[in-house]
Amino acid sequence: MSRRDRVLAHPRPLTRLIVVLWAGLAIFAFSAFPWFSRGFTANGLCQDQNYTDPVNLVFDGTYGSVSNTVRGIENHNNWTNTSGSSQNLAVATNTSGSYVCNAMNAQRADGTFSRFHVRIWNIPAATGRLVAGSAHHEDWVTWPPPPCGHAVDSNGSNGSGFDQGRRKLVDGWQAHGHSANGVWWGNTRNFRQCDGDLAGSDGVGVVLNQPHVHQ
Amino acid sequence: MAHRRRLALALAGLGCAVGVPIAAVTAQEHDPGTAKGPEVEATVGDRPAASKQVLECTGAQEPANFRIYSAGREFDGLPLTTVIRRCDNADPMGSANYVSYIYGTCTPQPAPGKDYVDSGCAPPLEIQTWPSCERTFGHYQGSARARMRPELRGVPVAEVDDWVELYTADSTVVVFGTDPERVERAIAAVQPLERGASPATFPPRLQRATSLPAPEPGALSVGKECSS
Repeated sequence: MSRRDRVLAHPRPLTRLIVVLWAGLAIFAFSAFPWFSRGFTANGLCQDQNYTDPVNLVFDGTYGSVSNTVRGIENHNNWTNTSGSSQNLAVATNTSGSYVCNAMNAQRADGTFSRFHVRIWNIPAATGRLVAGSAHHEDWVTWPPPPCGHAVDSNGSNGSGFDQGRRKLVDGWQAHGHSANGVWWGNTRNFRQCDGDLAGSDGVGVVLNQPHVHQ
Repeated sequence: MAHRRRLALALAGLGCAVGVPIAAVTAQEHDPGTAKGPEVEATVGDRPAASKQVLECTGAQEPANFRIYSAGREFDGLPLTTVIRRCDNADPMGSANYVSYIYGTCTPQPAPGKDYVDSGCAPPLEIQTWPSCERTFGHYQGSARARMRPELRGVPVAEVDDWVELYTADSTVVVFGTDPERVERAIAAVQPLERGASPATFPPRLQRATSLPAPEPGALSVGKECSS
């Protein structure tokens, strides 16, 4: 039995307190299910038949504006490329369940062709405290011709391109001191890519804390 | 998968070029003497055998260690086009474990104003089955976006965002679709695979039952231990 196993099997009072606090934090994190937007982005109207990518990130904090988030992505991930097409997301206009289908506010990538890429949306209901994101890694697929374009990496033993994109972005922010909490969102639907592959999220969204201004 | 498909195309092209037929090896399975079967996509990672938080991974060609549900070889006029067996390496920040049956297909379209595709598309119907110890109603704690509905076929059913989840035995069946009415019909139609059947068997070997087994004790709550 490892030391950690022993500690958990016979917790001391302080350990019990830590476990209770941790459990409380975990419940808080789980209760952060994305009320702020639907679970998927869309091409066109925000309806089932137009869904295309899972939402897998939310930037949360006093300085959770789109502009501050963009600066954070540029600073922490060095993703500065702005190319790519727009997508829509149903975002909350209040906390009682009203949504509006809005075009993305910004996108950033680490290149033009095969690349990491994220699209982000302001959440009107949160007045500058929340920004939703959909990150992924995509390949530029040219064969067979004509070029099909960008295809998110298919599901693999380390997750899909959606999971890899989220992980890459989160790693960059954590390396610069931002806290990150995994939250179960369940949006695991698979999407057919232009190279014929399927890709879907593992269902986890990450809440990235944004407590300061990025210069 | 794309690499396998591209390799298959390249081999087929080479075969044509030299006048020698070369069988292109793909992950497709075929039902001898009947229609072409679905594509099978399997990604199976490593997981600790003794974990209580996640089940060990099983392959697409072997029986899963939780009950799997399907709507058969076709549903609502949509053929079964793809079977996915996804079981990720254990990772505290996300690790999927499910079998998915996808019905019908879709074709990604170029983005407006672009001559290339820049996003995927949603197939008409997808039925995923997860072990209930890894995905259950309890994971949506307190969210107004996850609501229990009246029981259906003797088991609890929840509406979550744009999808429906059904909790039965040791499994959570998740139905995504582009048509809400079709999703409801699928929930009413899914059947468990026969014991010992592998997810990739085509056509799926289904039991026939109008009611489904109730969820195992504790299966709706987070924290139920996984056991193979």
